Amino acid sequence: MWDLLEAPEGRTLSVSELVARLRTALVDEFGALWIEGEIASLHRSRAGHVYFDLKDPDAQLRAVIFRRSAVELPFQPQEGMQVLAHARLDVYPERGLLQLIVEELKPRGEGALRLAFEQLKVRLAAEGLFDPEHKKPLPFMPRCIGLVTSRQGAAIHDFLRGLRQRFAASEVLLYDARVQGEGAWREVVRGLHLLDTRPGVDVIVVARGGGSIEDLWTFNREELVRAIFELGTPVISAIGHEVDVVLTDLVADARAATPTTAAELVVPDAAALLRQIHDFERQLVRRQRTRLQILWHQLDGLGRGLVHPAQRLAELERRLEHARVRLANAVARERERATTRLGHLAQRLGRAVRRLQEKREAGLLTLRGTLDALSPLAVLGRGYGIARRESDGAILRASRQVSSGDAIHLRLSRGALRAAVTETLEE
Amino acid sequence: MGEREELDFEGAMSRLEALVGSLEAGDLSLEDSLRTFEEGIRLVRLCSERLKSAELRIRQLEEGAEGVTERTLDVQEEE
Repeated sequence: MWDLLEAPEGRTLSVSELVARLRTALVDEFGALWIEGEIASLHRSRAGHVYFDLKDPDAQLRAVIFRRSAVELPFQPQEGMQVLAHARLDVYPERGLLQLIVEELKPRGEGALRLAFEQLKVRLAAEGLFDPEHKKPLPFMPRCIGLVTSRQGAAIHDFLRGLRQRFAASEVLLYDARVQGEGAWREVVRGLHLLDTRPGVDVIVVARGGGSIEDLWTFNREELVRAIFELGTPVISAIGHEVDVVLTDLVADARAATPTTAAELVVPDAAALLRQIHDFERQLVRRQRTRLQILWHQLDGLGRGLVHPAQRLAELERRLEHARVRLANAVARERERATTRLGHLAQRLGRAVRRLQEKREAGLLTLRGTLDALSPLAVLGRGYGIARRESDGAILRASRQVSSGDAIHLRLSRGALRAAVTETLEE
Repeated sequence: MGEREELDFEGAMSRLEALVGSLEAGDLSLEDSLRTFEEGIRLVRLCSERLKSAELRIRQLEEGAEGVTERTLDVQEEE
């Protein structure tokens, strides 16, 4: 039988004491640790904490991510997801439960990474980070090409080879960054920021050779994706092989399937450009030749229209002679016409004069009759005489016109008398 | 950065195309067409030279005590 009153040997602990000692022991023994497992029985509390079981085939542990850490997670943990948790062990005193307090969680393995990738892609896409309207145009011919990649990797050789084949006269400014592993994204972001502000860098290529999704995970880092989104310089993402798609491919201004083909996006094809330039040159020469031929032709035509001065002079002389002849003819004709007219006029004048004379003679006859009637001579016929001073022929109308002894002429109706004044008598 | 960066290649190509076009239109005076032709040939020469300089130049950005510096890389070193 058991003696219910007998005290046990050794010290007795309260539950709280034991739990407290357990917690101390756990912290001392384990501290913070990385633990890998699969997520099961996940649920979120209304307060924002995430509770789940972390398990492997043989064991499981209760785990919690408090809200403060949960909001920092780059992806949403899901049941069945393989994860790596950064956690510390603790005992939940009220229920005596051993649990993991998870501070940080990383997807583990391809499945989990794919899931995390899809989640992040959806979230960033919803924010508009991949929208086409944010894509910056690539330069036609960059003055300098910024390149972020590892000098140790294969990508740099592939890219430079492509560049040399397509456009050898290129200028490259390299930022040597780790492209894989913990913290590699920080180096890539640093390179992007440095190159972004370098004068002459017109485009930046981020390159890395192919690899597993874990190898390429750097280029799915949200921080790197956001850095590319915010960069002023156009960015070309040339990560992995054709089938590998990473988030930098989606956010970049252009995506190259491989580092080798990136050159096609970065620089124009020098050979094609040279062909185009030579084509321009041929056209220039051909058009100019045609143009000159046309001008030459026109000049030739104009030349035919031109006349030598001597020829022109002869022509002028000929025209002058012609004019002179015409003038002479005209003058002769005019003279003839004038002569004729003069003749006519003379005839008409003669006729007119004759008519006038005839008329006058006729008039005169009439006039003579009239005159005869009025003539002093007719009066003389009636017995009057006209006395004139012999000296000047003045007709005497008064006796004092003459003196005694003056010779006078006395016209009678028939004949005349010369007489001397013997005496003058007053009236 | 050397003098070869000073040429706006894309602008020069567009200009060249425009010059060919205006010569083609044929409504230029003799003097203008000669000027156009000469400018075109000059651009052809400039652009060709830019393309034919076959040297690939690589420099590397480095962060050190004296800040960010550039160092010329031997191309062979990278091939």
